[in-house]
Amino acid sequence: MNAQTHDDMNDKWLNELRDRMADYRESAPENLWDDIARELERDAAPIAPRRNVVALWVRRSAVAVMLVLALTLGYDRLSRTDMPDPAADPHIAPTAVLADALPLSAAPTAATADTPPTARKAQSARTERATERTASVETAAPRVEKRSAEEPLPDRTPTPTESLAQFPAEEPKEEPTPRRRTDGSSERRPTAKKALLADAAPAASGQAKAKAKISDKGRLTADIYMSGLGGSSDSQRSFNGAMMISADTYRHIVERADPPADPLTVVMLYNRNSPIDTEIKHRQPLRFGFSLRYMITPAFGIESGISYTLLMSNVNSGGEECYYDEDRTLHYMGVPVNLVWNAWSGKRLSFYLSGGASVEKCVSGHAATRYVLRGRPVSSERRDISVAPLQWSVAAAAGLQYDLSPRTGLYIEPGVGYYFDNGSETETAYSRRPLNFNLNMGIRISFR
Amino acid sequence: MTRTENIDETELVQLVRAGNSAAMKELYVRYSGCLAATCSRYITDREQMRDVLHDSFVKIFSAVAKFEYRGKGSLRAWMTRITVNESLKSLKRRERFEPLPADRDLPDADDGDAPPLADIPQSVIHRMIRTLPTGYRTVFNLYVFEERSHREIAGMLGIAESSSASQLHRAKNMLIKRIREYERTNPRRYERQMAE
Repeated sequence: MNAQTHDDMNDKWLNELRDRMADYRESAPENLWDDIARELERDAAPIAPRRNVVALWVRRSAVAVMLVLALTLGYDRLSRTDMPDPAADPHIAPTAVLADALPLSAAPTAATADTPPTARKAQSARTERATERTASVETAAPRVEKRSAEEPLPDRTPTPTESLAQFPAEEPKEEPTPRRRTDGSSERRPTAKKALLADAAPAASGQAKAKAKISDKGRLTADIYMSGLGGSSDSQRSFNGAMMISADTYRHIVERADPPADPLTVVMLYNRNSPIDTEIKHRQPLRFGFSLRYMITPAFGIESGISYTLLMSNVNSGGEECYYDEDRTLHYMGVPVNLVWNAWSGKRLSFYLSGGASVEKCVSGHAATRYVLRGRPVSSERRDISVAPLQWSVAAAAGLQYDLSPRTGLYIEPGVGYYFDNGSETETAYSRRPLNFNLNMGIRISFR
Repeated sequence: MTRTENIDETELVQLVRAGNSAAMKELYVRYSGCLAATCSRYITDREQMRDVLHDSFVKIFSAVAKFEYRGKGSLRAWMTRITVNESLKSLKRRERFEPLPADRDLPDADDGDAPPLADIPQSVIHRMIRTLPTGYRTVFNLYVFEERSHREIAGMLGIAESSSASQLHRAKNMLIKRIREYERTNPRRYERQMAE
């Protein structure tokens, strides 16, 4: 440390100032010692960042994702043992599974026509269960390889009669269907043709139903979601020579045209020659939404819905003794439209990407302001805020969905959104930081 | 508690080093006032200041083993230095110390007369310092109270030396202006002084 004495005449008073303030004391904040003592008790605790809610939330969501993955893997592992051991099933061969993956239209209608009604029902049930595997043609093949790598399959290829004979007993098993089908067609071609003509209608519907069953899984889903529970806040602070008030507040004052007894004017006048602090804290927007998703193809879909967003912020502006403190609450309703691409799906997990745009409108808003003069609260007022312009935004997200059952699933969807400046003078979390990260979590229910 | 109340500083430090919790509390009681005053000179936000003071004390107690007692005042200086460092860290997290845009040209208030400080209460002076904009205030504090050179300040805050000098100049002008304003609005005390 440089023990510099300021000898310059101009700076002599600084020395005096320092000496004058040497024994100045302030009372320490209440209960500070208790907090310190508590922290010291924790063994060599490093000074942890306080109020780091954002990091906490990231950690929480990471844990949630891990949990979901763990559950899925665990379930997958468990269910593997429950599943009929493919190795034991003589009818399963790689080619058979691949055939299963091919569009069902390739399967001769003869097969469906020929089977007795109960068998057909079993077949549809099987295909329904098989839809998970056939969700996308591309993934069937690698999965096949995987299975063959894991469980050595017998090389014997079943003879047609054998497969047919064993068919009724195989009802709970998925794979025999294609084998039986392909073999059945070769065996029964003559009769099949007749049966085909006779049962053209029901067969077609049967086939269509089977086809529909495969691609219909998750065709129309509804989801309910929320985001923003982290509740972190983002603050902006500025120091200017002039007092910063938002344009709508200013307009509000001008319109009121009260005599200087108006507390805001007094605050402004009091601070007119002093530098002012203005601190605006925005809480993370909290959003709830409901949307419907329609899959045009198993991989590609569109969704839309409605959303409700709650924006809260706090403005504190003024000097040391004379300032105002305002809490603002804005309610937005919006309509998002997104395109969805199912990038990958597994047995229970699926992963998708989505992108789209949204338009929102502030439907209601109010502010509660408290004016403080010379350290004492003087007056307070409540007023309504309206934001006229629409809020447009674009967003992209990646989602991970875990299916609890064939019809319901949980999902977690981290995403990023960009909120366009709508020319509104009201400052919100969006105008402060147009690029916003969010984490949606929701439940997805599938119809049909 | 009475055991530690009148204890000598050197012994107090020894006890704190040994982990004596009563001694730690006594150290806090003795110095929290002065460190709170230092801290609030740098940090105007009450919540932030509380956090910084908290962190400073935790750091002090953790690092007390490394402290070497070097005579009267050395303990206070060491603790103050830690508090100032924590304050600067906290300020840096929130803002950058770039020179503020040239606001309204303040008239050069150095017209030779040193401002009369004697009749202004300490709390008022303290408050005046706190109303300075962050940049000016920090440079002013480091220069006047921590007695740092402009070069050192420039290094600590990541600004240019010239920026440090100009911010100090502006801080001084602002303070002088405030002091004179205070004099104007509190003439009675001044007149009484004059009469004596």
